[in-house]
Amino acid sequence: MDDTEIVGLYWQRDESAIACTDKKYRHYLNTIAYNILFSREDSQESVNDTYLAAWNSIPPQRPQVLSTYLGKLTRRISIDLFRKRNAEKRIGSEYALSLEELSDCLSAGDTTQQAADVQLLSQAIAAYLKTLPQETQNVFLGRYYYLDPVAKIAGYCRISQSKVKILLYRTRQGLGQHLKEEGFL
Amino acid sequence: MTDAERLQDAIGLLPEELLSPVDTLRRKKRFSWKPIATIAASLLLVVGLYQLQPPQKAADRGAFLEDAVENGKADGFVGSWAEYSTTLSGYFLTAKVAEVAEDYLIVTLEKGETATVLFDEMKERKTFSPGAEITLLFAREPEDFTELYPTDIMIIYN
Repeated sequence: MDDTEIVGLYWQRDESAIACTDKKYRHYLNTIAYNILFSREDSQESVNDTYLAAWNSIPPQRPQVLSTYLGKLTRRISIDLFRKRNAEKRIGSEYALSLEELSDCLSAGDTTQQAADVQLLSQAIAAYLKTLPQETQNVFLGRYYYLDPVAKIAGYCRISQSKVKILLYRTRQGLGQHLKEEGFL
Repeated sequence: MTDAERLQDAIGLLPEELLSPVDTLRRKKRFSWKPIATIAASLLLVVGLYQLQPPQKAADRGAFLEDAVENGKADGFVGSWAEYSTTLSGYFLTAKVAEVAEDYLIVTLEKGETATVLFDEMKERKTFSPGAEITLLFAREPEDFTELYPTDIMIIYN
């Protein structure tokens, strides 16, 4: 079943929409959730919550690309769950590792404008990413949006792990510089 | 909320137009020659062991590594020995330490080029002194000699 038909089922309030979503996207969403939570049980909970969030938001939403829409929901829900479960402890998830790596970009934490709007920050990041080659964008988003391990990114980008690390390192440096120029630091 | 968490939240709001290409890439089913290549290479190796005398140079490199590890002559390790135990025939490069920092070394290579050796995954190392001659041993030929990453480097040997 294609995505337009699945979205149509949501709009008709047909509960089979969830079963169709589960059949087509369970593995995809589980991977995103697991990269963040590092727990099968929590990932499953997060994916189930994604189905509920999709049911509650479509309509009025009519996603153009269902996979990225659902992925965004799963990412948000999983990060919230991660923060809730790990308020006092860190676990070895890709999300936790990505936080450590990203601290390079905003290393002078105390000078960051605490009131900086996350939406504005997102626009600044998007503007910077658009100046980069497609391959570099793919590597950066694979690591920091989808929280994929370096080896996996190297696989689907068809480049070596060393190159992935080099691209990530340079992009973090460049992003830090860009955010500084934009006044976020 | 930390700065990095705020950054992660901001990345989570990136527009779909940016996400679509990598999303497509991630979901694409890929055919990999790797398992077939590995089996073929193993078979060739078995045949080769029966028919060919291993090149002296490769054996020397293996002995060099084993000696470095077993006798503690190595000044630093990057990654674990076990990870690289199947790649004894390494790739050598002589360098002179120019600058020592917290997580990297600046070295001058044989032909006068300068390279940065990054230590972000280094598990064990001693102090390197400026001016010291070291040998960098690689698991494979690095793609870019100006930035040398731990995945490329097996060992640093004085």
